[in-house]
Amino acid sequence: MKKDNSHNNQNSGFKTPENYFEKFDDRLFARLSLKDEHPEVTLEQETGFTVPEEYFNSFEERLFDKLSEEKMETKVIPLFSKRTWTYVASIAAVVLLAIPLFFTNTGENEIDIEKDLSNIEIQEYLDYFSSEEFDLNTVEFASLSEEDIAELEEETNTIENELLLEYLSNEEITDDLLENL
Amino acid sequence: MKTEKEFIASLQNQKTRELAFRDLVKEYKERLYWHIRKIVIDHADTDDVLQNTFIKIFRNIENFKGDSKLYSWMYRIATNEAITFINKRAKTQQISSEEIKTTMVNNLKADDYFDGDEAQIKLQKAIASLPEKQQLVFNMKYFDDMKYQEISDILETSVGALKASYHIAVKKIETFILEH
Repeated sequence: MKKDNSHNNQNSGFKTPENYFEKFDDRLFARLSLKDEHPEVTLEQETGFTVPEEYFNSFEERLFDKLSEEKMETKVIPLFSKRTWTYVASIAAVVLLAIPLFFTNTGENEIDIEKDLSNIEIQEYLDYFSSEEFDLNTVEFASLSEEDIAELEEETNTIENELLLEYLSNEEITDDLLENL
Repeated sequence: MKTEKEFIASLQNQKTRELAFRDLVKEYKERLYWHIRKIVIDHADTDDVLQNTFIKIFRNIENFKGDSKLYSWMYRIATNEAITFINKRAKTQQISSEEIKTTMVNNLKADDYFDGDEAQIKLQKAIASLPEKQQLVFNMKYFDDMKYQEISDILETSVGALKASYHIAVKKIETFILEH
């Protein structure tokens, strides 16, 4: 499926209410200042997700109310606090341990796809994704730095590491190890 | 029309900050909303994350050095906030962030704020099956049609690695669609 840039988000299934974005009184403004640098981003973009009526119009009001409340507190929380990183690190560990569950359980959680689902649309996705434009050519492969290759290798190795972690986190194995101490 | 430099200066000046910030919110709320929505899926969650994103931007704009573009910097904060949100929820529910995402995508059919068809749900499921970074790259490239250089500035990853990630993501999505 060849993409039409002005309607990309339609492909995602996300949508907004009809004429939703047109309602914005600031639309003109949005096209004036910083917009110039990103002409490819259109305010008409549609995604299959919708938003409540007047959501964007009331957004500032709610945001500034919240900001006023926050101003009452003098405490400033740094953007990348130690706490954030601790969260991320601990969550990453949880994620690593839990991923194998995800791989084994996905089938059970599937929504039943109706037989008459949009086969044509799915074929369009497949045609688009299997087109050659995504294949890396020799020049692109050659341009990958050692860092890029390392990152890709790391990505590929993640699953192997997950399997190892799953094995190590197996309670029976832990019990055996404890018993044999 | 202000240049970006002038605009940033007005954001960093105490006297003009609030007015400039209102302009900033007007300018970016929709783009950041859709970027976050594709990561956290649910509208109400997106609203929370979007508000927190702007609050962090407001608090930290004084320290913005201009090493990257304002747009990239804000996207980076939004991405970080969205991922942190998903991870926190995963931790609370003691499941992985991938499982959270898959569950939410599986519930899209019942979501009042989603009216995509089966094919669009299937595509979302395929995206949810990707590792986090590939999801980001795929969304930003496929739906938002961003340039690799822009994505590179936001995610702080080389263009070469992004191209490779996108290539892998596309192939995985193709396989997922064929197999499901």
